[in-house]
Amino acid sequence: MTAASIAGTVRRPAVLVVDAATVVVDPLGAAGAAAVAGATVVVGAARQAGLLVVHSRLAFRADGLDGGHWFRRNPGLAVHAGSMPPPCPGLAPAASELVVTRSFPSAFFGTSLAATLRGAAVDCVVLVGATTSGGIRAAAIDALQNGFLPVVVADAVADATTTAHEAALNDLSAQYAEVCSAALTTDLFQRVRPI
Amino acid sequence: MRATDDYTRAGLQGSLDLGVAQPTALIVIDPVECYTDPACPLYAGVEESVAVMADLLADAHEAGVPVVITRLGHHPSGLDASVYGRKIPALRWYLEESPYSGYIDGLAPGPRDIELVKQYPSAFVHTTLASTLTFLGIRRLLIAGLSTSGCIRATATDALQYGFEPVVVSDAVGDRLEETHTGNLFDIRAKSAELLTRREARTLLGLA
Repeated sequence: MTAASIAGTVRRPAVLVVDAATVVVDPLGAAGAAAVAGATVVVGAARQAGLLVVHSRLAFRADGLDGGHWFRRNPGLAVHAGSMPPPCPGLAPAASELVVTRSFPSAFFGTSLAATLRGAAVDCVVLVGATTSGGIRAAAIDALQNGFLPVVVADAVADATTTAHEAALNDLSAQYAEVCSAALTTDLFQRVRPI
Repeated sequence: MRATDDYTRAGLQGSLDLGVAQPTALIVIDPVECYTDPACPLYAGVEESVAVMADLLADAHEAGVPVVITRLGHHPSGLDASVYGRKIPALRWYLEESPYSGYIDGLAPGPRDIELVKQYPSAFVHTTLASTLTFLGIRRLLIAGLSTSGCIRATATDALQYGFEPVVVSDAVGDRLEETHTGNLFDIRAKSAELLTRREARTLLGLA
């Protein structure tokens, strides 16, 4: 889809920044740094257009009980337990912006995110952050299932390997979401007229 | 005809078999000071129920069953209170900035308890409660807290809808008006949950 055709479909996009934390992005190397740069452009454009920006972060109890089997089988999740690690420089939430914590892959599972977006008349969720095959893919599918148009910004998301990143984007594009560039997304933000 | 007779004849007012032992947890809904501090406009005069809640919480700890304690938590912008915040101006008393948002003495979550911050009346809605209870193998939920017509009723209905046996502890829930409290307990008993007193709940937990 082009920015013009998406703009013809939606009235009020919001940006969802998934796990923009250094403990998540730094291990992704150059791909992570590139995604942060892309995400920074998208978030800046959204703020300038007066669109809603919401941040989703993993946050578990110290014992990980609220992560259930997912936490138990993934020792790497322990970096998010007890206290929340710092955000990526340049992608820190503004004081006015909502940070929705979660303890499972999708930003929509076990959170009030969908109700918040509906209450704010949002109809499209633009996804940036990490990882493409994990939190982005899960949130994109749940955005769709909750009635929002998911837009994944390909150059603002990253994964541990190029293979995982591209496979996830292929699946998302084939079945669930619009996959756009950061440039196309900022163009979209200028075309929509916030309510 | 008495109301209960009419309901029974209609096929309502059924009973879950509490004689069958089931893995049980206790949930205490929103035990916060806005209901008990007379300076707060939301003060509800529920001291008697609150005292029973504390006894029930001690029972659950004694029995070693999982305990969940909830509170409402919203962003100061009201964004995540959404339509609920627009409908209920009183949500402002639960905000962290409010002097009345703290837990009532003796009802704050301890280190072994599970604190659950929710944005809506039901403790199951937009939270991981059902997931966590499933992970813990829980089948039955004792429900206490505030208030009977709001969050207690919503949580009891949702416990049923999510596949857990709801048991509302009738003297450990309270509301601002006696008729509202009684009327809602009647509806809850008729359509969603069993009602037990705290003494009966203590026995259900296997305590003397």
